[in-house]
Amino acid sequence: MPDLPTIWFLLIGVLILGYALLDGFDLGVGVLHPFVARTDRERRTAMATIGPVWDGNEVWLLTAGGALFAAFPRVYATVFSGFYLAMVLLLVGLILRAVALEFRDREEGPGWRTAWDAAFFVGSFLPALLLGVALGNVVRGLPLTDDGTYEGGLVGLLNPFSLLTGLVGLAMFVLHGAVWLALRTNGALQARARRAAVGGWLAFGIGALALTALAALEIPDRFAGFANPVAWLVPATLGLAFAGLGIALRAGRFGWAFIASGLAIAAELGLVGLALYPDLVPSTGPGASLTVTNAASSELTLTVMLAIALIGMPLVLAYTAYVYRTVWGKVVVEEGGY
Amino acid sequence: MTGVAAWYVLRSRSLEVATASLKLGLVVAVAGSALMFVTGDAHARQVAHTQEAKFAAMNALYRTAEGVPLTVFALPPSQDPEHAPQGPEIQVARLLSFLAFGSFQAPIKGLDAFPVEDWAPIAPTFLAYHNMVILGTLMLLVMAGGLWVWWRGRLTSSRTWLRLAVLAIPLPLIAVQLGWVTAEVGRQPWIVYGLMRTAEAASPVVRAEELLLSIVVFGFLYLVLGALWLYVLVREIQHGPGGEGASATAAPAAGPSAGRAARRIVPRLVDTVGSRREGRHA
Repeated sequence: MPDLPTIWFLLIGVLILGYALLDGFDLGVGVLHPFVARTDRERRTAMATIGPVWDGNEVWLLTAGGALFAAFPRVYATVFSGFYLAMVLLLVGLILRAVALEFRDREEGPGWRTAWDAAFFVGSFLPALLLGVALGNVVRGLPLTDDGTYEGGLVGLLNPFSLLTGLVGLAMFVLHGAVWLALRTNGALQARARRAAVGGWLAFGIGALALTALAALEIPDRFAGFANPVAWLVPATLGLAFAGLGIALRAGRFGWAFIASGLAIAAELGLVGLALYPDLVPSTGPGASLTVTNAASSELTLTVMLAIALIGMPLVLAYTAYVYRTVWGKVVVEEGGY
Repeated sequence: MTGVAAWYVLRSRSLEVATASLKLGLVVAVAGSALMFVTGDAHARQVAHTQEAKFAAMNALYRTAEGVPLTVFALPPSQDPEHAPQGPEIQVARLLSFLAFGSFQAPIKGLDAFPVEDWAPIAPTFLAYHNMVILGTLMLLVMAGGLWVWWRGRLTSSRTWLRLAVLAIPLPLIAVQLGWVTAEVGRQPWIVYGLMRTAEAASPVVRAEELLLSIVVFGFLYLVLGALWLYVLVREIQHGPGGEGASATAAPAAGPSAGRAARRIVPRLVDTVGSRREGRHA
């Protein structure tokens, strides 16, 4: 039976995974939006595929952040304060996306819609990129001080490894979003989404390989987890999912493609988890790393949280499934409406 | 809701929907405003018991005293008790002691019971709190006036009251913001009351310039979004409730509701099963 901090390491991983699987395609749709959806109707269609679900999807990010705050407050403090400006940028992006989705269709003027389309793109692009950059920095390790804080500012976060991680994350979200679009639309929009998915698949493949190579060079210590042969299941899953995704895209089987894409995301995050554990924020600097042990809250806190999570998570999954089931199907936007 | 409905009635638009909204809004507004005094009282009492320095600042109570009056009106107080402005004041004797602690003779701690470094900014807290209560009272009065007008059977014809109802629309929004100012300015210098000061909680790695930048960025963003929100809201109100699936009650089509209907996204959901081939519609 793993200890409470480890359980919470896994749970937060699940929350992050849930976010990546769900809001991942929202962000992907947003990034693809200006390129794949050409006419006003196609743009409304693309937005309509994520319209009913994006808000609930984004909540997974907040939950992951909240869980991090409560379970590993020292990590929350170091990362969220240390990455302050990047956080502000991320928040601006999320705000822009939310408002763009709500406001775009309320006026008919082309200037109005173009402006909100741009906001939708920027509001999707920023989080898609920045989240990867943040994760890359955490995995790579930060020069923590003796207090466990990071003082490097925004500039310190823009290193090649993390930027590449950001780009791979972006490709991953774009791929996931493209598959989602292909799954839920018809006609020219779907055809373009499929082509974008193939492009994203290639970009993700190349990027992930490059990232692995760079990691082997820069942070070989992070591969310690692979001494355990069971760990090799994760990259194996990634490879299979990636191949399966390619095949499914080729065959136009977008449901299977989406499942494969989700599996690939899960495997990617699994690799991150393997690279990190038992550290949460490895330190390259004078201070010690933040680990699941030294950064965790008290046993009482973790236990209470676990009880609430065990009650809450099934509820969340249940109503999420209900919502998706209700809005499933191809999205076709009509003129005239009522 | 009441205010917007009143606006429609004044312009003789969507009368059926507007009148119904007017009545519903009125009833809820009166009930809500009245209830607000109950919850507000309970909340103030809680502050009096658990956040005494804040309570003293809210009421500009410089000296601990018994049988403290409730100040209904006063000039903005100063942070320095030596230079408190001497101006007209309207007070109700011993009422504050009674409201806060249940006895007309109850003692209430003044700011002199706390070290100066533990004092909140007095003027903003006092002004925000008192103006919030004034606005809340105004809201209740306007809505109660509506009930009276309704009882007199002149709800849709009393242009005076209808105009008041429209003017009253921003009152709750302002009152809520004033309440937040009271709470958050009044809690200073504490971020965890009595345990941790705001200055102690500030993150050492976030530089002042970064903090300022984020304040400016968010402030600007929220201003722009707020203006846009207002614009969209006003446009929606001007277009009126017609064409939203309401029945043929949108009598005089004063707004281009047909255009609005056309703009609505109506995603039609087509069953995915068997739709793998492109271009297939159910």
